[in-house]
Amino acid sequence: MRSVAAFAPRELAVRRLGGSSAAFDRGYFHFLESARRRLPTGTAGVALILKRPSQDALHLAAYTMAPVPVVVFRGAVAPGWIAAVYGSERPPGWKLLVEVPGGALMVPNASSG
Amino acid sequence: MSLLLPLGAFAAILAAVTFGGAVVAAALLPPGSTFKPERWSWGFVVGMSLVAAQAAATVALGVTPGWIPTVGLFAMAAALGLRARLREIGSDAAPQSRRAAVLSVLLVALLASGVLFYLLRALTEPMWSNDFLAIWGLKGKTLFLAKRFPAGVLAPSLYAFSHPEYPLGLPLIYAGAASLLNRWDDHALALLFPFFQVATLAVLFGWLRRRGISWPVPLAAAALLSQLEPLYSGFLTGMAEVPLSCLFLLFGTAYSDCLDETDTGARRRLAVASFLSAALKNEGLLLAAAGAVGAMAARRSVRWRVAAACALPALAVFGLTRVVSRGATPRDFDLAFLGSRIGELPARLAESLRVGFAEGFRPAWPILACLALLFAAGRRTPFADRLLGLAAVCLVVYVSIPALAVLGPTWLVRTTLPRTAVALAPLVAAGLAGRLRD
Repeated sequence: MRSVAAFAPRELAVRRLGGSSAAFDRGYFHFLESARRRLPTGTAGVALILKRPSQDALHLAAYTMAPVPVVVFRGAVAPGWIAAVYGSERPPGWKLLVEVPGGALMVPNASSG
Repeated sequence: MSLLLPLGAFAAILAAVTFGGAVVAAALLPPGSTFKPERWSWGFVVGMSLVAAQAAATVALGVTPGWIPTVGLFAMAAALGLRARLREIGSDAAPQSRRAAVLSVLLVALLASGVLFYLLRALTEPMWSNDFLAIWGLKGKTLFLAKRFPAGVLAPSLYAFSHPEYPLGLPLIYAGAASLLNRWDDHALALLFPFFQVATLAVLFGWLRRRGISWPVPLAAAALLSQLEPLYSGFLTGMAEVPLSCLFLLFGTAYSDCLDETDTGARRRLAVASFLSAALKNEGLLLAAAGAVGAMAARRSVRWRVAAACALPALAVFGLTRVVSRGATPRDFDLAFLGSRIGELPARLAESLRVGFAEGFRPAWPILACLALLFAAGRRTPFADRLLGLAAVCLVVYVSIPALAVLGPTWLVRTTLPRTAVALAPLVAAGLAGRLRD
């Protein structure tokens, strides 16, 4: 009851942030939701760069970004896709699109793949 | 936006959908007070099915879903429903025995508390279980926002975890409901689930009363079922089990009515329940197959028509799902265990049964013992025993089928058996209570 009373007046994303699906890493959901709001129009898909990829992290990202497709980064970013980098490290030589809380949206330079 | 506004709007939408569905349901249930509680349950289920059908049709046609196509579809369905409406069968409410006021109040309070507790569990936070995020909600959100079927947006090679082969009933309900709400609100949409709970309780009570089970058994059955936290939980809110348990009960009651030829609408109800069960989850296909085989074995003149009403709608859904999912096949099971690797099957079957017993049945033994006592306290009642038969067949398959699991029987038993089994609870409740007749 206390949880409902505390969260009901807040916006939907804040209610999810305080809920069970984000409990494994609330900072990660904050990052995802911030990244979703800053996705450039026409983004074909999102490649997630995570220090510790997990099923939970992939499923939460897939749902949050839907209908934009999401994959865990495996060495290459497809044309039209962008990388959502969680954490403070940045792939060297990549172009920064925008910093978001907890990470950044980036694209590889043509030479960095 | 806070929760209250979309929640209030969605509650009003669900009420309107239920009223509209009740008009259409005139083609499924005869008029009269005998069918009243079931009429409202069917009204809600038929109404939500039309909302889902609206989403499917608009996505397929490439037009925007929303109020205009929904109202148009309801108007057409209502016109057809009223044209095909059933006539009064001359019955009225089953004879009322004398009631003890105190017991009535206690049972109604128990029932109301079960509904309220589930309302609270369902609405505490946006739907959160992993399968909601990875499967049901993901597809519903994709349908609503992309206005395309998931197979065209979520490449099966990348989204195998979303089970592209699953039927789209629940995602279409989400997409249709979101189009009426005009936004994707996965917190307000959770209200669907308490509505399905109430629909389940109403049909349980109504069917038992109509079948002549005297007070207080129907009310007690509904009150106890309302308290079943493993089914009516926050975890299962967002997943297919709560709606499926409602549809399984609608299927079971219609199936039994059909074999007993209680009314002219029974076969229509059975066909609709078969279609909708299969559209929600693959377990619906299993129930339809169990019903068809059971009907064929029955010594009734109607057996072939009942078998057809069980099987044909479910097969139609199976075909549609194959088309819409672009031929996606189940990835959790390896049929080689029924062919080239059949030598491994006995050991895998033994593992399924061992883990199922140790982790599913042994911890629940006090509840299972109570159910066994209730079974023993009742007496042979064909119309109720049929429901127990359907539930038993499903349970045997649920316990055995992990033997075919790619990741091993233990994995599948642990991840699915408790929740698939608990969705049989309304069928079991109706079957056990039906045996407690005077």
